[in-house]
Amino acid sequence: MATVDTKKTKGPAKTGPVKTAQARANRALPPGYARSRGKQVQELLDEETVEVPWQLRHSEFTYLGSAPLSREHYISKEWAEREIEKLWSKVWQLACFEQDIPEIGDHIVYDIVDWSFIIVRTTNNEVKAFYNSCLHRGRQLCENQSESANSPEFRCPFHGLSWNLDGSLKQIPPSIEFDFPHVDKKKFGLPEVRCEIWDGLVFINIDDNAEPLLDFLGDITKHFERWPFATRWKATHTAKVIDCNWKIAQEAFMEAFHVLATHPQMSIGLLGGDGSNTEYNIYDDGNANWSRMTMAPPMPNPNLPYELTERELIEEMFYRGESVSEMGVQKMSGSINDLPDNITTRKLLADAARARGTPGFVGLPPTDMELTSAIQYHIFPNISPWPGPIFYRYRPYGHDPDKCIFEIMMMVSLPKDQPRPPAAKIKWLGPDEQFGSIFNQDVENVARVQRGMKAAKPPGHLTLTNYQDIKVRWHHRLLEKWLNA
Amino acid sequence: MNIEVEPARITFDIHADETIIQAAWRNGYTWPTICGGQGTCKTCVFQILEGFEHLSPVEAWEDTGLRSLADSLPNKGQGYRLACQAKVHADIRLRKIGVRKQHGNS
Repeated sequence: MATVDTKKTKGPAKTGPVKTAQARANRALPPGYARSRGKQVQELLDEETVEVPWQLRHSEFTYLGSAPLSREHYISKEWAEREIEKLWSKVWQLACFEQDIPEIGDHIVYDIVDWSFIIVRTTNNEVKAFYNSCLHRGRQLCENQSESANSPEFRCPFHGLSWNLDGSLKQIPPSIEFDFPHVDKKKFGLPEVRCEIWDGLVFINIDDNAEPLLDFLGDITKHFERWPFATRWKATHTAKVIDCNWKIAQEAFMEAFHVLATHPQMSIGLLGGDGSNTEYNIYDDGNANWSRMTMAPPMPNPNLPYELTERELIEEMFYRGESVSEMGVQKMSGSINDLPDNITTRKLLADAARARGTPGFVGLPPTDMELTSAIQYHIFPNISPWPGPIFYRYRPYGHDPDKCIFEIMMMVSLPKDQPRPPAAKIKWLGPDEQFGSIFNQDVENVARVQRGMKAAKPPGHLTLTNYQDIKVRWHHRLLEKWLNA
Repeated sequence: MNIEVEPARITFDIHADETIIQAAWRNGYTWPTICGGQGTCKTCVFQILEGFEHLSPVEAWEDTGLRSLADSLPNKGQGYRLACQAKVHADIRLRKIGVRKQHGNS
């Protein structure tokens, strides 16, 4: 890890590299190990006033080379077909949350490419998943993928054949039963698809020979013992069809150094929010099916040409009457004169978060890092769970490599001493509707990335960074492993 | 002509042919910027407190930058300008945090 010199002061900013101690230290490091200016996440954790949970200290990184990435991964129809054949047909994927189907008979539809599955609660302790297709004429048995429905059976609307919740045949209508003498009713159950649950997240796998879900997930399950999902509530769920490949949408949230250019509002406030001090982790030399990034919490932007004080930053936040954090914009209140002289921005925001109520973290008291920074995990191939409330899912849109379904969920702490509120149903945004706030800037980018990649002069290879794009490299490395298997 | 900067209560002179950030630099003051005054990072954005009518018109490049910030600034960005683009033809008073006397290793 490079040493950090936060004492950099410069006059008028020059274009070109700033010759800092950091820059000199970086030159001595092997590729992939150079870091940005300013305090790194692990150094900020050293300054915590409470014990730091081991999860935040579990910081692995392996350099995966600096080779360019082929644009074919995103724009080629042939590549998309290979993903369908080799990835989506074999990988564990999030179908829904247990809380989407809390009562016996509750069911919801999960679609991926041409497949469609019914996820149903059959008993208090069991969830099953079936191919969503009638065994007679193949009609979809259930249609709604936005919200759960409840029924005591699955009856095909076409000719009325019905199945029990556990998939066994319930009835061929008596008026037509005479014409199915060749059907063994005991063997005429709905075909099941593999369905396993981790911490309230319901996964399916089309491959009957897939490894068990928990083996696939690995150590991320231990990480989330601190931030469990089973005790959270899905408060919102928004989905939109976006004009880009599912991986492009996802990769917009796999690195944070786009913040400076894409979200200038985050750095004009002089928060440490330009993303350059984000820590990126891949595990088990990049072989683990999960990864993480941790954005540095709000602090004076280390990329300014002089040192800004915490005090100046806080004064600006008070002046504007608002502050930016992972949770969104919070109103600042009170007087800056009441604050201790040595207060830091992240401490101020963390204490404000504590005052609003402790989130449902398990074990040690919450750290400032958990309360003020964006910590984003990623599970191969297509979901991103956060210790904070945000949860993303990305799916291909049919066979079209140029479109995807992007979903944002808010997984918040359950209200205290109240019954669990019902999980939000999916709200589908139309083409002209927007997710809002910062996401609009990301969504605008990704469609233009898709378009621009096609416009590149062949072969149109993509030149990634060594460190900050490591999650992108990790993801494509795993993907290639699956497609070449 | 003078530029008066709050909350630091700094005043410096400015010529008609230079931008506000250039005048600050000439007078030995820092001004927040990451791109070095090219109108790309928008970190130099400031709020006009007095003398709105004394500023040069917003040209296309600055307008692009200001529009990208509009949603995230108070009052949809009305009354904000980029110091690396804006010039003045009479005194103004503005608010920008982080403006200060350069010291040491300039």
